Amino acid sequence: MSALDRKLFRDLVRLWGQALAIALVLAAGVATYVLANGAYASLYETRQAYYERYRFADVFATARRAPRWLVEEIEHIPGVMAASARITSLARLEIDGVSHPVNGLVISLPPQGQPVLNRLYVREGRLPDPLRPFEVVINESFALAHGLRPGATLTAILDGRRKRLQVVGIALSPEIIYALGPGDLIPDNARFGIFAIGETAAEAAFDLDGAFNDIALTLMRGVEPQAVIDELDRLLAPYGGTGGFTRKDQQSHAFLDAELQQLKAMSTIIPPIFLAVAAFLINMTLARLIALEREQIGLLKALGYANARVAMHYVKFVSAIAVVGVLIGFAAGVWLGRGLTSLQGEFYHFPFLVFRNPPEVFAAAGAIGLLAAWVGCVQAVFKVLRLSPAVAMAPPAPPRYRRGLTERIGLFRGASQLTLMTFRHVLNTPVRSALTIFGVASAGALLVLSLSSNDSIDKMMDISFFQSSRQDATIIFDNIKPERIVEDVRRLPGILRAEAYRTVPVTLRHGHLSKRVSLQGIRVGADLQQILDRDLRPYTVPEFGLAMSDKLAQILEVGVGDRVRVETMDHRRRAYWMTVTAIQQGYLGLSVHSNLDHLTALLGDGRAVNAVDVSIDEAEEAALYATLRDTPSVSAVMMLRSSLANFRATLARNILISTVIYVSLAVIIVVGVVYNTARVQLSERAREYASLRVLGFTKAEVSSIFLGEIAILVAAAIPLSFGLGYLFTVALISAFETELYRIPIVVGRATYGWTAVVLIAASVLSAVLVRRRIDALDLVAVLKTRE
Amino acid sequence: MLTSWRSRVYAGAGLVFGLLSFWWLFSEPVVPVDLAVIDRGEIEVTVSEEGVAQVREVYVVSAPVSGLVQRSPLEVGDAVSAGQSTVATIMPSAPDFLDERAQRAAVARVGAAEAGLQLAVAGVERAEAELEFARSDLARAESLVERRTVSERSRDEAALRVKTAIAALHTAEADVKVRRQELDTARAELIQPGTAADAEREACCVSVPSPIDGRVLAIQVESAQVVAAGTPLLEIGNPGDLEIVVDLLSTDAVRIETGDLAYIDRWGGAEQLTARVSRIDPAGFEEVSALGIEEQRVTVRLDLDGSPERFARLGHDFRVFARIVEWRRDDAMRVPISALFRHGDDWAVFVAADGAAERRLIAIGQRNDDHAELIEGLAEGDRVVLHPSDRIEDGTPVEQRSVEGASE
Repeated sequence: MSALDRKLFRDLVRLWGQALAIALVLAAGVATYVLANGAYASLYETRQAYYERYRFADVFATARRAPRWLVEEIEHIPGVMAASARITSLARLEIDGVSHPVNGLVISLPPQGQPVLNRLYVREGRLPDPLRPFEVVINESFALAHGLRPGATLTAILDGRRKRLQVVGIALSPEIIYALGPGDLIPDNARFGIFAIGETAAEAAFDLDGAFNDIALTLMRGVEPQAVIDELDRLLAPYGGTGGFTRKDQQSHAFLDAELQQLKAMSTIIPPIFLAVAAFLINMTLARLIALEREQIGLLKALGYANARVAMHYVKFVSAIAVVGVLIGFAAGVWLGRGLTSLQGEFYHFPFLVFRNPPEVFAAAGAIGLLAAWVGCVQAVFKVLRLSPAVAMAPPAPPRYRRGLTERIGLFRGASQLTLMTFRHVLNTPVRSALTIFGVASAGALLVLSLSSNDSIDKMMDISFFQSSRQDATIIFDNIKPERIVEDVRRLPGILRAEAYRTVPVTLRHGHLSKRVSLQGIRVGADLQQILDRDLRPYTVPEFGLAMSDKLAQILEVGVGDRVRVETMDHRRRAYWMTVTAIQQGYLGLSVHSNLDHLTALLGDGRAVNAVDVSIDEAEEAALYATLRDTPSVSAVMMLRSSLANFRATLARNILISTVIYVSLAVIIVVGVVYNTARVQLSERAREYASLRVLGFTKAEVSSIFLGEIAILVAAAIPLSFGLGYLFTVALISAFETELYRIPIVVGRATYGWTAVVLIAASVLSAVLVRRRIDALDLVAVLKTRE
Repeated sequence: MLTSWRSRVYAGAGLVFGLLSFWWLFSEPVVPVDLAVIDRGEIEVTVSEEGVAQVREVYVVSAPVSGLVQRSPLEVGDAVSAGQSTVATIMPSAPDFLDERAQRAAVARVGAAEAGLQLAVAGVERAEAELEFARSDLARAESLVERRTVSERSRDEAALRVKTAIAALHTAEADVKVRRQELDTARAELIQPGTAADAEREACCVSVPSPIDGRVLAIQVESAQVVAAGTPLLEIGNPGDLEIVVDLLSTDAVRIETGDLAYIDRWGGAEQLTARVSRIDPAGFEEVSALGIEEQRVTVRLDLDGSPERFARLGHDFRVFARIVEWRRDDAMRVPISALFRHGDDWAVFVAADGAAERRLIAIGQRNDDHAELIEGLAEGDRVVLHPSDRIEDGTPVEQRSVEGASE
């Protein structure tokens, strides 16, 4: 072991606390990077593997009633690899001991058991026996929500007829990873279940003997889906086809995609910010740490060590710290990433999980960490090496304390000597102070960023559920009904208010751009469904034309006054030209509204509606549910209020856990940075503090100068961290935006408050730790010039 | 350390600023809400149902005789006057079709009649021959009587034979006529519908006059066709004499009484019409609602208020939406429905008082879609939170959401 290496070892031992703090800051940055990228990659790969193994289809279409022989023709469309036809329908369910309405989606299984596409993963039990029409397989999340196991029975209302079904298995399907009920904005496992029954049973139940109403296709590699969809539509149109669509518009896939996109946004925005901040901080801290070695560098040079060897020695020193940090970061990142993936996997009920940690992520995180350390180190070392050994070995010339900015402002006229000294320290080394402030502020900004996702989601929910969709529940009918049905609904028990609306599946076209959406016709003066303009002010639905959500307008590239082609995708397939008369704010999904009278006049089927929003008197809820149970023409009842509570719980689990992880990492960075800043500050000032002691200042007075400096720096850093944090949040939330969710940018006051609290607490803690060192300052050792 | 007063002032100010900042950062955020003021005003509780406008008295004109109704001379909407306007013309029935057997029998009857005629003609000839012989016999007898070769009696006998022969001839001639008529009858039986010359019979048609002054509401028999007696041909009524007919749920119908006010909306006109309940049927009937539930309904009739010009465009069986006022108070304390929520078994609202939400239990009476009648718990002028979100609890700071330019 050479002398230099021994020195390296001793230095590390001497500075272990500081070194560990720096290593942890870097580790936190690296961990976020590894964890977010790993979780995203794992979930992405898991979904991919799930889709491939269970043959998730590429193209989907529904019809009213298409004959079975058509399947063969569809299979012969050029580019189609396989087709799987089945019967799907909404149903209502009755489960013993559950009073609230439960909706279900029934899917038929072919007699041979597993369908060709969208195969089921049987978690427990078995598939239904084709000879036993009453056997059913249910999806896992629903089974868990109600504690249903194979052997349990439940009642389904299929096409208005009650049918007793026996659960024989619990399964998962790649097409329903995200199980969203009709009209639901958020999944609600207790109120929406998926049911697979035998084909014969489904044919009998829905009166579709020898027919199907839903088909899924897989395409050959490289086939343009639109060509296949056009041909498919042509074949299905006579049988009430409503137009084919790709995975992009398949509900479960689209939502899962949106969630993955958000995860990706988290992994591309948060970790780089964390890593960049960590890199900046270790760069700054190490540079200052090395700068303190000035005398020793001079000494080493004087002893005849070559510049390169000296530099190498310090590079080794920082590398040791950085490598420890990076390794801790890798380990923590992989561990946390796996945890997050498992959590998400549990939420989505994936049959298996594929863990993946892309090697390039490790390489990038490691490289950034080491580079930041090296650059800081080399800069600092070479600055000293430029000096002649004699100059370097002497203590740096004391800074010139003259009447600077401090005095000129006149702010401190009459201030005590100590106060003056404190402020002079800060203001007369502006670059160093600014860097310190910026370092602490960026660490604080990470906290703001991590905490604010909650504020934004809170705001989104408040606007979506208490300002625009304010109904307690929505009753959806099996078909269009005359508008007077709203009077019938109003007379049901416990209804406080009822407002009918009409939805039509449409394709909106503007130039070459098109989008399939559900056009909603609402009545002027509707109170439960309120349209908000871009400034979130309520306004009435325009008498003519379309009120389009901003995201949809953006997709179609339309503005107020533009005309779009509205093609109805129901059995009539009519097309109209309508003018966009308003742009509205919408955070969930894509929405487009028009006046009910105007819409029904266009559609030409009288004042027909197909759903009613209601607000409910809680006291009579049970009576209402009981009545709705026995009402044949109701196809589904969406409980918005209960879904909301459920959503909050889910959100608490998913988003909060990742928030907790990020917050903890941010706290580590904050504490590490503040502690290091204080330590370096002390080392830099040690000579001055010792001199003051020699001049007769008490320990308390000297400490107060030091603590005052830290206080000033942190106080300046706090507002800056708020500003930086807000900017980081804007960057993150903007990347979150998908077709299905948009989140307003909100940073709550409490978020700022907590950030300030953590910064101050970290400073106080660091100050307490460092202050002991001031008191224990060895005056002789500090003031002695080493030779 | 902080020796000078100045330093102390600065430090103190800084400390106060810091503490205030924290107090502000951690104070409960003010939730912006929509507020509504409790006021006095009118509350009407209505029973609403879709109904139709109907002409009070509808006259159904039916066919008085069986026959061919000619194409209706009227269009729906044409004005008619009592006794003056012909609303239908009926041509009595044409002969029935002959089937094979009847046709052959008829043909045979024609043959028989023809033979009978020939027989009768032959009888005439015989009678004529006998008359001629009787006459010549009489002439011979008269000449012989002059020569006194035969007795007077013989001449008288001859004269009698002539008279008898004349009578026989008359009988035979009459028989021919009978037989000829019989032949005509038999031939007539062979006439098939449509083959006869219809023009001959135009004079025989029956005209049906209008029973009242009014307008044609519906024409059941438009094209020319054969109808049985009693078939409804058209409906006539006076469209100025309209009433509203609504089928209410029997449970709603018991809450209203004759004379109650009703509003007629959504009839197409811009103006809201008013009406009064004129009759509530004493018997109900079963109907399946749009929700698919079987319910008992009762027909309720309403008389429209105001001059008929106001609803001149309303016609027979036009759709309207009737809201019958079952309860009404002009100066009721009103609390908006969207402010209500349940707290335990009680109704509650959040009152915005001194910048904070305060939960108050209230008692309400009647309610409609927009307002409930406040019995107790609030004072006039109190401001309540509309659509309270789950962020609001007792004591949560709230403020009016700024809604300049809002349309609500």
